[in-house]
This record gives sequence, structure tokens and C-alpha cells, in this order.
Amino acid sequence: MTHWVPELLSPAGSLEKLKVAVSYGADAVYLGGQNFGLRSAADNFTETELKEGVEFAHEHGAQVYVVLNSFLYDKELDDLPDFLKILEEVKVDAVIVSDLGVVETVAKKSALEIHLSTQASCLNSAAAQFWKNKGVTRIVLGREVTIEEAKKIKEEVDIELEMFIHGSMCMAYSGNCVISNYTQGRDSNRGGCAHSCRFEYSISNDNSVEDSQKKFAHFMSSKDLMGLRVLQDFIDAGIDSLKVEGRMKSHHYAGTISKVYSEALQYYKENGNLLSEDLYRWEVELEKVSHRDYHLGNLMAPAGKESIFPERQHAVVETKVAAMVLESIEDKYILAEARGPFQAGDTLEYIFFKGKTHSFQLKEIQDATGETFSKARPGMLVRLPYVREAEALNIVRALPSSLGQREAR
Amino acid sequence: MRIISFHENEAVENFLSFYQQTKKDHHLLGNQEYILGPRALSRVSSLSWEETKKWAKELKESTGNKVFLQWDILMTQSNFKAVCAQISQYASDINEYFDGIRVQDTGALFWLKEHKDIFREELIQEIHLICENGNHNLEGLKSWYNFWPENISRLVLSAEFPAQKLNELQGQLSCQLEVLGAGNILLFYTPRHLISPLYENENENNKLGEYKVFGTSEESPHKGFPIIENGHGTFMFNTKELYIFSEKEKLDELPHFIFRIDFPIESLTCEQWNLLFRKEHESFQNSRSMGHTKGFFRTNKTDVLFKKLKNHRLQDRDHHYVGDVVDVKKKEHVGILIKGKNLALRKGDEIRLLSPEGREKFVTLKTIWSADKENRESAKTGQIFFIPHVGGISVRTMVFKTEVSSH
Ligand code: SF4
Repeated sequence: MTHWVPELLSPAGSLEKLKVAVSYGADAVYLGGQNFGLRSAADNFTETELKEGVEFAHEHGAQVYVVLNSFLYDKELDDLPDFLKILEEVKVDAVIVSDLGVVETVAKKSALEIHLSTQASCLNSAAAQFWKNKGVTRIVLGREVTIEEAKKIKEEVDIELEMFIHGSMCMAYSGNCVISNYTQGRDSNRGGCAHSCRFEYSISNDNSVEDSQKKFAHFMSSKDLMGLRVLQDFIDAGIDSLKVEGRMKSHHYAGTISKVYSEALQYYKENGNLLSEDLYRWEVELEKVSHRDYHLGNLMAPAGKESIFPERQHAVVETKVAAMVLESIEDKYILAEARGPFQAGDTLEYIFFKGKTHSFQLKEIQDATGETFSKARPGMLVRLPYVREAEALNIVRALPSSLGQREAR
Repeated sequence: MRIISFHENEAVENFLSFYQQTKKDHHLLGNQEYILGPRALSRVSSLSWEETKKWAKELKESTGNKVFLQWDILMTQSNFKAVCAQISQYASDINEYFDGIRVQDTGALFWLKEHKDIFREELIQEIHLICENGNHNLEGLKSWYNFWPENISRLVLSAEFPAQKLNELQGQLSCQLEVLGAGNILLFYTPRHLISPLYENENENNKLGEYKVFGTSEESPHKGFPIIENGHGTFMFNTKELYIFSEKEKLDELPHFIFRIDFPIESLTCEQWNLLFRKEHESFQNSRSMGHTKGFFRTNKTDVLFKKLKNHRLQDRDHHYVGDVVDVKKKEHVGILIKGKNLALRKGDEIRLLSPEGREKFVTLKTIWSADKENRESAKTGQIFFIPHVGGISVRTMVFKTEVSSH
């Protein structure tokens, strides 16, 4: 007997990240086209890449959702139908929309399923009913909604619900921050957010007081969300899809987070509980990707002062990506592209698509043709030791001990 | 027409004494409306429900103008249910003291439509929908209005619209339109309480738990963002007050617009009301402690940089794309990974190499070999193959199969 689990929805900032996320277990991915999405600096997909990405995902049983979550101007709305046609042709599974004008256009001009973006700040059952009546089939709830509240919304309105389970948090009600618009001349709701909420501010009661009387604080920076420990609550509440934030983040992030949550969900599917011996391993894995301190955000209760991240920088993560497997030459070696610097003597680790990792100490570094080098630099093609389970798109990372040793030398 | 928003007792007091002094001068005062909300429903109001009712009554009696109830907080499910229950309970008061209701939360709008029968007919026919966040296209604005056309009497538009766009919109929407004319621009709204943790040991006298402070970041040239924390969360405003009333020519083109005067940070004094209504723009601005901006009223270029950020190189990919250069060894080889689906390259094919810097090279595949240096006839998707070194080509160069070589 298997047990129902929600969909795991991972970010796909590029075609390669899409393949990584799907290969590491994501049930669905979301991505942006060249226009209309919020992440202007992400490697957004061209039409050819979109086609290839959708085919790849569908072959692996995964869904593809395309974000159209910018707040669009009239001119762009005029151009949208052509893009919708392409999306229908390449058979994407849904679009993610935040603007009522876009919802109306998609509904009128295509047969695409519409998911409401978190940018629309849908926070309660009456709002959910409004959007349902507009033809929306799934709502990505505002990040301020607790799981308990989401459950109540679901009971009142028969609609698919999606919630964030992992990643960076926008401190504002989504769509309700225009700091960048006024301070940097970049529209936050069209991909231009300058992350001003991560800055340090001096705070004072009076605009004219001396520095000595001011308080210096990263007062509006949020810790990152991590919902692994409350996965059971999401399942019990019947939340349909669990979303991982981070289209701008690395392959390592897309792969690791997808792997951890998909393994946890798979465990639940088979066992009906999350009392897995792997729980600790999963948590350790989540620590290995770059992040701010983790927090439950608003998942269990409205986020309090402990949800504020008091520093500028991300936590120092000692585990770094070393390479990405490109090809396995059977029984001989693994060809990988170096994605970070490493050298002979370092301990590397293959992250397979499923199960435990495999670490090994690198005796020497060989380039693609077998010539020996002392160091690998990013972009270099290298031969790594052959391991049967290793396959293309596996991430190889350098373990902290080796980095530590090297720094000590 | 002007609509004036009040958030504290002093603000209404000052306005009323200005009004009393000026009331004979109808031309100066023009048409007016007022906004009042209790702190339970309104984002940055400090008024209790009793105070709100008191001022609503007094404003109406003194001026004969309409007063609208501000219910502009955003609400997650539990709070939403509690607030709706409270509104139902106060429906008779709302009917007595107010002429209409203003909302932003989609749920609040939907709920009002569902519960319209508990309100007086004239009141429920004056719903002002706040569309200040996003909502930059006509299609969307029309659709909001059409959700409840008999009752949504006004859309409150984004302050990011330039005058030219506002002008266009006034001919295309059949309800009243409102935009911020003078006041504080809200930049950020979160339900989290971000200021109180900084004053944890100093707030014994702060019974309401409300804070008004200024924040400055070294990473931004803008100094002194006013910040308010209260029961609804934390609100940050622009460092400068918006003031567009000096833009006479542009305003003349917007005769049907209602301009909101909204100063939650520093209420206007009686004298400042006087200067504002007398259109003594410079004196008014000089009398305020914050600087002034016209915001995006003249032009909005926030999209220019956004367009520049896009990676144009990517737009060059088409269906001839076969993969990327993954290795380059000077004078020896270029390694290519075939990435496309079900693709193959054979000896004799011609490929086009397009480097990240935009350098373009055409190469006919005369010899190709594997990492083991074994000569090959072809390579397929997922495989890496090598060709003799090509100058000017680096890793991440894109590889296309040319038309010439299509088999
Ligand atoms: S600055 Fe911070 S709060 Fe504002 S949109 Fe960006 S991430 Fe969100």
C-alpha cells in the first residue's frame, strides 16, 4: 500500500538545472521564458530550451510550469498570446500568474492551466474563491499563511494549494515591496529586486540623532525557510504541492534540495510516516548548500523575532561544488566538468540521484586526455575515478576536510 | 477632487481647524472626501473605533462631505475570519457613520459582495478597490471593476503610473479613479514585527506596541526611511514625500482623477493645510521636515535596467543548437558535449561555434576523437568528442549544426 504525498516542485533556473532537479527527484519544475517572468537575471529559457526541457521532464514523469508572474504593462499583454501559443505547442503543464490581466488573457487566449503566483498574496478562503471563479486551478498561497490556515482554506474552497517548503523568504507580503523601484530605479515586481531588505540599517527614533544613539541591525532580513521537519503537517493538511524557492540558485542547490525532499516524500509514500533513519542525513544534506540560518517561517505560527536573520552574509558552507558529471566511460573513468577549484589530495563526493553519497580521496587530477595536473580550475574537463552508479548530471562536491587541509597548507 | 486620509487624532483636529478658518472660501476648498479607519482595520491608523466614529461624525457635520471607511489590511485566514466577524458586528455603526468602504485584500472584496445585504444600499455601492500594488494593465483593471460593477465605484491606482498613462486610463475605465497626490509612499509591508525586537528592554511605556522610527542603510544613498510597526506588522515608507500638485499642466490633463492626500508619518499642521490648499507649493514643501519627490508622475523608467539585465546571448539559441564546448586545450583540442535530444554529429558535418563574447567560427569536422584518443566516425547525445583546437573559442561556447551539414 502506498500513501498519498504532495508534489515536490523545484526551481529550474536553466535547462541544465531543470535536468538536475528532475533527475534528483522533483515531480515538477517551474521556469521562466525570455519574458514575462520575475527573475530577470536567471538564465531564462529560449523556445528551443523550453521544448527540450518539457520533453525531458515529461519523459521522466515530471510536470513543467512556466512563470508569467511579472506585473505586466499593456504592451506586454498584447505580446503575450504569441508566447502562450508556444507554451501550448511545447505542452507545458501550467503557467504561474500573479496579475489579473494576465489571468484573463491566459484564460481567453489559451487552454493552459493557470496557477496563481504567491505574488498575488492570496491569504484567505474568500480570496481563494475569487481566484477559483476566475479559472485558476491552483493557488500558491502567500508565505504568511500557516499550514493550519491553509488546511482551512482547502476545506472551504475546493482548489489545489501550493505552499513554499524551502528557500529564501521575501520579507514583505509578496508583491507589496517596491523599495527597489524608488531607491534603485528597478521594478521589484518585474524582476528588479535589489534585496534591500538584506542590508544593514541604522535605526533611530529621530532622523537627526548621532550615530552613538542609533541601533545598527539587519532588521528586515529573513532567515531561510526549511520545512522538512513539518512535512507530516503538509501531508495531513492535504497541501497539493510543495515548492522550493530558488531559480537563481546553483545546480548544487537544485539537486540537493530536490533529492532530500523527494527521498523524504518517497519514504512517506512507502511507510506512511517519516520516522526514517535517514532524517538526520537529510538534515545534514540541507546544511551543505549555501543558505541563511533555517527557520520554519510562518508554517506553524506567524513568524516572530527569531525569524530575522541578523547578518549580511549567507552562512559559510564548507561544502563546495567541485564538478558535474558529463559522461561515464564504462569501467574506465568519469568525465566531469570542474565547477570549482580542487586539487590532488582533496576528498570529493559523488551525489547519486538516489541514496547515499560516495566519497573518495583524489590521488591525482587528470584532464580529459589523461594528462596529470596538480589543480583543477572551473571549466576544465577532468577524469574522475569510475563508480558504476555515477551518471551524467550527478553533482560532485568537495568535502570540508579537504578544503580545510588545503587552507592550512 | 481631493480625498484626505487621516490616521491620528491630531491630523483630524488640525484639518478641522483649518477648515473652520477657510470654510467660506468654497473655491479654495473645492470638492473633498475623507478616509478614516480604526487601527483594527487600517494599516497605519492609531485611532480606536470610538475615535474613528467620532471624527467621521464631526467631519460630516462640519463639512457635509463623504467619509469612507478604510479596511486596507491584508489578512491571513484566521485574522480574516476574526475581522469579518467584527465587521458584521459593527455593520450598523458602519452604515450610520460612513458612505463607503475601501479594501485591498481580494478576500475582503469577495466577502463584501457575499455579505452586501448587511450594509445600507448607498454605502455598499461605494466600494473603493485599492489596486496600488501592480495592476499595471487595463485588462486587469477592467476585470477588477467588472467583478462587481454596480458597487465598485472607484479604483485606487498605483503611484508608479506616469501622468501620461493615467491620462490614457481615465478614458478607458468607467469608474472613478484615484491616485496618491501628496503624502508618504509605502515601500514595504510585512506582517512581521521588525522594530520591537530592537527596543525589547525599553518599551515598558509603549502600551500600544507601536513604533515610529527612521532607518538608513549604508548601502543606499537614501537616508532616513520612516518605519512604522504596529499590530498589523511593519511598514516602511520612502525617504521623500510625494508631491505632484506643482505639476499643473499634467494635472490639467487629468480632470477626472481624485487625488489622495495621505501623510501618516507627519500630520499636516493647520498652516500646512493652508499652504497646500492655496497651492503655495514651495512654501508647503519648505515647511515639511522631509524632502519631496514627484515619484514616477513624470516618467517611469524602472523597466530600462530590467531589459538590460537580460542575457541576449541566450536569445541566439535555435533548433540547430547541438551542445557546448566543455574543454579547450591550446594547440591540441576543443571538447564538445552534445546536449540536444537524439542528436549526432558526423565527420564531414559543418558546425558553427558561437563564443560567450559573440565570436563566431565555422568548422568542418574532418577528424573527431574520444577522450581515449580513439578516432570516431560520429558522436551522439550525451557524449563528449574532440576536434582540433580552434583559436578564439572558449569553454561555454555554443555549438550549432549548420544548414549545410543537415543530413
Ligand atoms: S527587497 Fe526584500 S522584501 Fe523587498 S521584494 Fe526584495 S526580497 Fe522581497
